[in-house]
Amino acid sequence: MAPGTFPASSAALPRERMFVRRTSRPGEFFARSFFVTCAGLVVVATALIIAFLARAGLRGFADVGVESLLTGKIWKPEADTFGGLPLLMGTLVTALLALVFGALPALLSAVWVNELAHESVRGISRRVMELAAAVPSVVYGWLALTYLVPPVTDLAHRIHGDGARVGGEGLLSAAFLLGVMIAPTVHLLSLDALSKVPADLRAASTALGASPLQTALRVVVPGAWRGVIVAVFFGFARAAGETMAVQMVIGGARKLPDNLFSPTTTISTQIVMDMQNARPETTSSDVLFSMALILLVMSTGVVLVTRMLTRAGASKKTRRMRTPTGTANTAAGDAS
Amino acid sequence: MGGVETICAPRSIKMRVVDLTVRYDDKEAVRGVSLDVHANEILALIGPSGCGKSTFLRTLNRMNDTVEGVCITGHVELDGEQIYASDVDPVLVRRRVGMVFQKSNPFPKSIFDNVAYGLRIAGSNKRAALAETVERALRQAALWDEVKDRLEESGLALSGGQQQRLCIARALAVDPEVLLMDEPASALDPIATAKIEDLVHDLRKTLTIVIVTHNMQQAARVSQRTAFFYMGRLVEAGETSELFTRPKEAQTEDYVNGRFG
Repeated sequence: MAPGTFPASSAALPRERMFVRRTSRPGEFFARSFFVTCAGLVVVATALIIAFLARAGLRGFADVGVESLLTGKIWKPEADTFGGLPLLMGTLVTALLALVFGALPALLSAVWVNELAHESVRGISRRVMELAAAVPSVVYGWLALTYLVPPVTDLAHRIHGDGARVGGEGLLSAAFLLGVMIAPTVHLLSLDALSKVPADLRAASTALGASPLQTALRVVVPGAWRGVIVAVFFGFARAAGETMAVQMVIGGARKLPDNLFSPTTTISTQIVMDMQNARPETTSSDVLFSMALILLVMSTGVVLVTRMLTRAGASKKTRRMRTPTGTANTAAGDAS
Repeated sequence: MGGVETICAPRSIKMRVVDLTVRYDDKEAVRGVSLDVHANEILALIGPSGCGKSTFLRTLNRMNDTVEGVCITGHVELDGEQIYASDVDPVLVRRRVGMVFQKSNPFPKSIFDNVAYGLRIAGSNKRAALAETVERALRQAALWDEVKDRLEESGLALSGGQQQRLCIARALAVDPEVLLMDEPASALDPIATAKIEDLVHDLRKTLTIVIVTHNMQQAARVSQRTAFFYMGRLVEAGETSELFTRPKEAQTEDYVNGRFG
């Protein structure tokens, strides 16, 4: 600073020195090191898990062939036959059906509780759902085996006749059970998304003569769609990864399902069933890692798609905000 | 007071409020207010914060129904019909008595869809008819020329003053008979405020307007009649020019002269 330009500032100069770093503070150093180490361990552990999974999994792909693992129809480790299609199909179909049985009612009930029901319902339902979300999966499996499988068996035989190879332990029971299991989580996540929609949008809609149902469906749900998508995809990922409960009711048949009542299998349950017989570093072990890798890629894919969908919506909005006079954005009102 | 003034009112009465009391849980927000709204007038509600003027406004289209724990007694009539009668559908009341809020609240939809919203929920879906009404409402709200080339853009892309006029257009699209405005310009700059005031002035030809305002000059500029609220009570209502120059009540005089509030 040129002397004389700001004569008063010369008096303030010594005070600036207050901001120079003082001698080290040992307590802060240790605390910082501790947190950095913990955070680093989490990252390293995750990276190692993925690395080992990928190493063994890729070896499995190399041994058996990508085609067999993705499209082969027979899974018979004892005969060194590793067709992964039944496992993949079982996982995908049960998870998708679980969305129909679980996520859809969970979303609709969240809309009802948040927008239409009396306030007293809200507190009770939230507590019940939190409780339901905390029940261990083996309990769900046992309940389903006891109370769901017998009536589904009856239904299967009524539809397909007594002689058919169908039963209560199969695709339908597993999907229904998964639906029940993911419903509380999807409900609670949807509820959070719906309650974040600003109250003044509801007021605007109400003041325009909209019924509560119209406000819910035309303003609140579209306003919360990102959160709702996250909730549904989260439910899908959870259903695709669920192991114990599914294993108890899916029948464990290593073949493609013929119908809704066919016993079949999923990636995660098959890994549990086969791992006792899979000696490390053998093909039968590596192939299980390959299937696990597929499951990981699937759930990562779901996360990425969710992020892309939600981010695409966000960036579209900011782009619109930035071009107040632009003619580029004439695509019909897709934000609605 | 309102009662006396009602009897000698020459113009037709659009809305009549008799002995209205609004309670939230234990708190009385509005106490025994009787007031008439004349057809095609602009009625300003003034008073300090928390005096009950906004609560009163919101009883005129049953917006308070959506608040938990509210208890409303007294009568509110629209064209002689009780709007709080047990067989009245509040949804239908709100289609006749529109509302514009303090903070502009366009939906995160296109400008067109914002204005068409009220028509769509009322069951109208013909694109041509919608387009016609949307243009009419946007013209009425003095926004058409600014947005006619970008109706498909998000309503949120507009400036604050434009957003508020969009909300007015949205309310006008359903052809209400009465428009309630809750401090519609309090968040806007002076130029945008002037536009809203001009607009309110023009709308009087076709509508009855009840406007809540903090700003006494605004009340004096836009309204024909003014009602002064204090502590949940209606202190005085009358011709705006009278109320500001020759108030009957001491409290009104203190308030309009800026001695409190």
